[in-house]
Amino acid sequence: MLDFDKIVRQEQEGLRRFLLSLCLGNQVIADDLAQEAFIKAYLSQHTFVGRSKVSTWLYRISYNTFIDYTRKNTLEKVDIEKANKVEYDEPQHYESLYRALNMIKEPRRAIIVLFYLEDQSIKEIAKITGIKDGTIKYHLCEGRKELKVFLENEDK
Amino acid sequence: MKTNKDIQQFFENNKPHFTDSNEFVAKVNGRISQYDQYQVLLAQLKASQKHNKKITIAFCGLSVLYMVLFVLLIAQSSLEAKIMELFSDIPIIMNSHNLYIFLLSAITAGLFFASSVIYIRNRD
Repeated sequence: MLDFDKIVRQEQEGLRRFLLSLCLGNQVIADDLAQEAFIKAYLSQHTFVGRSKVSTWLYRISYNTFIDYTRKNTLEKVDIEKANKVEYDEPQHYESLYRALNMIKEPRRAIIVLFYLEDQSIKEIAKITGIKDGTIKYHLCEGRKELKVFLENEDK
Repeated sequence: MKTNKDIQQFFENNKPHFTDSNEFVAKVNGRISQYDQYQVLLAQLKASQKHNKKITIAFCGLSVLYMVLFVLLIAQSSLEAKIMELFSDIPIIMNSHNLYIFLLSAITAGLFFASSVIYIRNRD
């Protein structure tokens, strides 16, 4: 049996950040999805046999929860200024992050977020998203191109 | 020209951090505890339904046994006279044959009513 309270404390920040980035800054939806993911994990903890890291297993559940949500609902683009007014430590910093992620389509966005924000390896990303290693490398390469264009435009 | 290092730097500079981690953990733990309570209640409900089912079966068994014993007892002439006396005010009971029919109908109706009540109460 997993020490679930400890896991929630350890993993919540990364999972919330991952979902917040996928939800383009909509913290209400992101936190709802994060809670749902933790509940799903709690209910299915008997299925976790330790073949992967607990964090990888939780990211996978979170990603599937997000995918299920987007199938049923249209993800509303949030008013970035409004979204940043509360809850974050330094609100003004995140506007450009969500604008950058907004131009990257799924599943590339998830791959970029996992790789750059959550420091996950390509193998871990493959386990989380269910996409092959080679395809992940392709998405990372294409994502970098898009991000470079974005950053260059930002500097202008 | 931007490099991969610039992208890495961009994400490092824009990494969101949360100031409400304790509140979030409390919410998750709250929902987990709600779920656990729900599971306990569900188990209690199932146990209670099982118990009710046992009571229903016992009740039906006893009723049938009671009916059989009662009919057998009535068949004894000594008791029959007493019962005839007891129901003598009811005009329809004019002989022992009518008495048996009346009692059997009453018992059957009673059993049917009791079973219906138990069924309706345990339906959910």
